Amino acid sequence: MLLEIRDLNLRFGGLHAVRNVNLQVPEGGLVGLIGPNGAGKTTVFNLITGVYQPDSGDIRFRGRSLVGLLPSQIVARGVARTFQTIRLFRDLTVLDNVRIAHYQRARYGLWPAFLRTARVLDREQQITERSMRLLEVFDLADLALEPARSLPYGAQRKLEMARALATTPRLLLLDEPAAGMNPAEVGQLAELIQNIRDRFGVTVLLIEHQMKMVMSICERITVLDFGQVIAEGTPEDVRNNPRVLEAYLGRRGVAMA
Amino acid sequence: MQQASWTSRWAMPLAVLAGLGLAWAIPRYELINPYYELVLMYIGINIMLTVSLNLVNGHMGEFAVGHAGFMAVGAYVASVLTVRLIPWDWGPVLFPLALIGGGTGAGIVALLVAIPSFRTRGDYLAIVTLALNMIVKSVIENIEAIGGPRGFLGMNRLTTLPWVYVWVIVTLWAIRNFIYSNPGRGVLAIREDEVAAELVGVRTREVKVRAFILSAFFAGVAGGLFAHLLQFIHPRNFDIIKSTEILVMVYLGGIGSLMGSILGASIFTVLLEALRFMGVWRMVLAPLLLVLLMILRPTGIMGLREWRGLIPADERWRLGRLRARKGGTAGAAGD
Repeated sequence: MLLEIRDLNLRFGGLHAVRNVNLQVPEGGLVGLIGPNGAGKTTVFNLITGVYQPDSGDIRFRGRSLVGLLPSQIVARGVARTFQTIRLFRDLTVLDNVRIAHYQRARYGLWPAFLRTARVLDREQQITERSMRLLEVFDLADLALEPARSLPYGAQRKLEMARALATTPRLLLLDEPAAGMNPAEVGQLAELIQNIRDRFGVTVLLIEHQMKMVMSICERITVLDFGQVIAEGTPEDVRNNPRVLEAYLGRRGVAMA
Repeated sequence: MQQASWTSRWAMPLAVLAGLGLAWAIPRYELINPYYELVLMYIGINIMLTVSLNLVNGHMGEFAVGHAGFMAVGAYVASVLTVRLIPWDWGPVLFPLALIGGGTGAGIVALLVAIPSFRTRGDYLAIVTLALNMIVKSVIENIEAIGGPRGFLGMNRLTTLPWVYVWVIVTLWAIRNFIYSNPGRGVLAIREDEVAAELVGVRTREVKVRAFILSAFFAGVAGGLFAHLLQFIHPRNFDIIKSTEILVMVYLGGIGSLMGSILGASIFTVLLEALRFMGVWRMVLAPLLLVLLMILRPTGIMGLREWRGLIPADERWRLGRLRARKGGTAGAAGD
């Protein structure tokens, strides 16, 4: 397993936001994490990436625990993410958004930076070229010098993915990448996510509300409700699981359906 | 094409060199009134203070308000070094070392502040730095060995126009190279979104500490230059009023801009001199200007923009190529 979460718990005061969650993501997989609003999906992402510290339980990535590390250290281990509410560096250019994500891969220190040595010039050129190649994958290269805030919504979502991939992750966490997109865009996105996985060799863990997309591209799906895992399995298993239907539609909804 | 890139590459270095020649010639041949020369030196020192504070407040988006505290540490350390430690005859030669000593002292104080303020932002950082400014001032007032509240004197007038010029260039050069490099891009990322910065791998604590120390170092050097220009320093020179003046210069010129810092420092310094006839009333200027700026133009004259000449040549070249490439496919690019 690339990522293995065991008995994870987190409380916010009286709210038990994440309750004994177990989650496994195999190397190379495309796994979905779904559930109604407020089920704790983003909280799980925040726990994996070190934004929150769990009260108990363990998160093991490539066999080593991530608990207690700073988010930047977790990035260095090979985990990258996007955000449900877009968090780009809005006033910076599209190019700089991606170049910043090379922070841990620049391979030159502070003193060479001051002196702007030949090595710095060389590395800066490489970082810029690599960033441009990433932007090309997402059709953003022509917008490289525009401020990120000026991009249309869908392009901002793609830029977040490009920025996350710039850190060369093994595991990419996508938090509702299809939010706010129209059906045609969602279709393209599904294709893009599969492409990214093949092209960059990353494992993807995806939070999404667009059921159609999740069902069509994910190999396995974990369903959360009120901070608990209520189902886990293939899309087919999950689709027919009565507890899942209940969580989404309510008890009466199920009876009617 | 080759020609154009040659001028673009060497225009700035040549201008800097010409400036150095002028800075040397002015006192040597008494080209201008000594009063104007003094104002030029004030402008230079203020540019250093403004650029260094702008790194933290503009580029990094924090709100530090006690910059005069670091200036004070630099001024006293450098002065004690030249008066007590360095033999009189060696003063002019070892002056740069004394200034570096002052800057280092300020940097150490910055490190002591930076570590506990990791988690503080916005209002809290403002309070921490305000407190630091006051603490530095009262510590100095209570050390009899350096004159306490009576101030400290005995410095030779080692600050000259060429020295000020050289230090202004060093400050601009170091901070420019920092901002346009990998460690410095982290500073911009923190301003934009600290959480997102950390989550794309920017070690935000490391970045903050470095930016604070760098900022304080040059404030300290500026303090040393200031002390060896006035030849008499006093804790009251470095109170919250002085810090406010530096803030005004930053926000007047424009946050996150080197050119903005140069403009802000120059305009404010000249204004303050031109309004001497108003007596103490001119001191109302700084706070008033700050209030007006915050209301009317919170990002200042340059506001997050940069003059091309202050962008490193290699980066300018790279961006130029990208712009040309874009122009080829999607029509003319602006700017």
